[in-house]
Amino acid sequence: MSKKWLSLLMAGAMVASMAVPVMAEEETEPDNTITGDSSADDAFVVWGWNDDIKTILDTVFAEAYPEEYSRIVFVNTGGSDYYQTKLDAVLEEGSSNELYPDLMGLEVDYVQKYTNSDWLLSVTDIGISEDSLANMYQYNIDLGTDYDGNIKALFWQATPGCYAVRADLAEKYLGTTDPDEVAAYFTDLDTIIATAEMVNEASGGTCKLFSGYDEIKRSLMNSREVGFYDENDVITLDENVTTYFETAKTLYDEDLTYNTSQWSADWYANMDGDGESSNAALAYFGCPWFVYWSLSDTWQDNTILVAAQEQCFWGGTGLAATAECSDTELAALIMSYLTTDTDGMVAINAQNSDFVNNTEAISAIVESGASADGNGYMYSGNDQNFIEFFLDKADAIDASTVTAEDQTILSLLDTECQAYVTGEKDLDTALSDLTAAIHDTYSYLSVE
Amino acid sequence: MKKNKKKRVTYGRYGYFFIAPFFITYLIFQLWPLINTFYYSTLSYYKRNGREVISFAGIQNFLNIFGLAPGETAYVLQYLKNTLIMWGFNFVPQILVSLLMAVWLTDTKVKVKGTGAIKVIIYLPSVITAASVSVLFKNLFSQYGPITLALKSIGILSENFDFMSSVAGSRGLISLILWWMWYGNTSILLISGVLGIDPVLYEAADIDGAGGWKKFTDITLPLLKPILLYTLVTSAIGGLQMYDIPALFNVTETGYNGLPNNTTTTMAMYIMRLYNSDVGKAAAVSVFLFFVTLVVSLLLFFFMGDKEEKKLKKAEKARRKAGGR
Repeated sequence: MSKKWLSLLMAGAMVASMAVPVMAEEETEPDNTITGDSSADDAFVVWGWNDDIKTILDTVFAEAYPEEYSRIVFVNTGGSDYYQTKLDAVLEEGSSNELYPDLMGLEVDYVQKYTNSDWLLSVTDIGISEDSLANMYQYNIDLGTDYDGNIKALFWQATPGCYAVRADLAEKYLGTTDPDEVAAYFTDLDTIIATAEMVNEASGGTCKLFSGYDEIKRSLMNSREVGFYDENDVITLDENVTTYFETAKTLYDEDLTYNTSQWSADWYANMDGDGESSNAALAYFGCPWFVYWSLSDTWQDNTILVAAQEQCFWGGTGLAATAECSDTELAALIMSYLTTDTDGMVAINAQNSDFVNNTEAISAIVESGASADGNGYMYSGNDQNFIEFFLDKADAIDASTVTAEDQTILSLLDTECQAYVTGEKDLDTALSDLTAAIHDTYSYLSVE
Repeated sequence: MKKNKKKRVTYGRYGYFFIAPFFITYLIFQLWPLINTFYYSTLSYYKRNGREVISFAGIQNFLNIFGLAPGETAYVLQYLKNTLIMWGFNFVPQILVSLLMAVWLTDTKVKVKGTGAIKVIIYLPSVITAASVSVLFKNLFSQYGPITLALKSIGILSENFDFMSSVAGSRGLISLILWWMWYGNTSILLISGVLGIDPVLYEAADIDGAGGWKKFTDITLPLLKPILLYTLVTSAIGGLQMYDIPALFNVTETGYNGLPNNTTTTMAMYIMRLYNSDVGKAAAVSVFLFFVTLVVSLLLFFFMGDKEEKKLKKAEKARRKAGGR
């Protein structure tokens, strides 16, 4: 009998030891796409969660420094969502791993985690002087700086938020394609709701102002006055969180959007509908990179930009050299050419029309008239200039509320927002559940 | 005589060599991490900005996950419930359909044609990776997916219904996907079990005039018990650790919150969510999952084990004892 129990226990232990779903994890993560030979002696490994950095290296950097470029091995992790998990494992392992990054891209929602870690070198350590950052937008410098004031990550783009409006649908349902007149429909949240009602009514529901209620999320979250926790690590929810939940509920209850979630297939599909026989969304929340990176071809020569109801920003990618970087000179070369060098940044803009993080380059671009048509997306029926539109918005960005945990917290926030909007719980419960969930995930953040 | 004995021992040793690799890898990659998980669950071990902060915490992690410490919420119970519900709605239909398939495909009287093809076809879904299956089903059943739209147009679903924001819809679909992926696998297992039953028994039953149902309940089911037990136990273990489909199906961007309102978040998803920030707590949840798995498996063994055989063995033992005396 005892033998049987022992064998049962052993067998139980054996199968249950798979309880940590390490094997399952691999299946859910997208595979890395590696370009180049990481086993080469002089391989210089760069990490990113998509091909944005790679495209710039392949074009702008390759043209200026073909020899250095040939050493670059690019690791595309296939999506931002699992980027940290993959990256952290390799960073913990150190440079013994062939794919240990020498240089890596970091998104705003988690850049602070890495700048405050021991995994990165400060830019002065690799020979980039702080003076050379003079032309950068200050908010971007702040994002790349750790708590002690060391600058570690440098950004090549500035990302002021806006709404991208489809000109043909604006003509049909707002009756105008004049940027100023269209902008009047987006001045504040009440106006936006009124506009949404108007579009919904005029189209009979085949065209809605937004694809999903979360289209207003980034404008409200990235214009908060307080971050998700204060200097004492006590969780704080800005008033904008409440505003977002309440506005989202109105949009949902009155059936003013198609209730899609950002980046989903339905969300993309609504970019291309004609608004009569197929569903279409009239506007998307955007920013400079969103226009060239995310809008579909339907929006070519069909996009009007209007200011968001709040001064805000969305995303951005920092470049940072790792602590065990195999060639800090090359890291410094890439970082300075792509984020501080006016010629390099004009070249980036020429490649994708992005609004670069360099005021001198931006002045040169405006002067030369480059990118006025925003990679062909801007509606030619009016004279809106892509770069000039963002000038004052970029100057005013404040990103001081960004924390290291934003990506995960925003994901928790989405869950609670949906539960409130669909009527699962009331507002107070949703907000207190959000606080509890943040504390549950990050035990070092406390609930008052 | 002595020589012979020695030879036998020498051969026997090779057996140990052959099983050694398994035990070595098991000790290193399974047992050691398992022991470590128990150890970690007693630590306050969290990561902040890539730095690990570790100190001894005793049972604090367990108090936290069960909501026994002030300010803590017992998410683990909610997620265990989610896991069990989704597993149950997948497993019960799975075993029923698999039994039906097994009986039909092996029936010597009905003689279904093309059993080989059927077996391949029902097994195929489990070959596809979970990622592809999730994406496929998500697109089919999304708010404007073809199946959702079709069901709405013929009036089965109400105009405002959305699988992705409905608790029953999301859980139901996850159960459906798991059922669809694994019923073929279970069917094949049960078919081999049924084929292992001596056909003479069926012939005898036929001669005695037993009907299909009688044969199923009195011959097939009892003799299928060992393989059913195996299926139940492996499925229960796999089910409690359910991860890939729910983690890819209806989730927030980071993949650890099962929508809507965390009602499709499983234990394993919770462990993964915590692992990135709080290793100690993740370990405590893992330990809890370990014990739940152990208890469920033991209960299954206890209730499903062959009682007749046990009785016989006991009687035999008693007889021997009595005889010995």
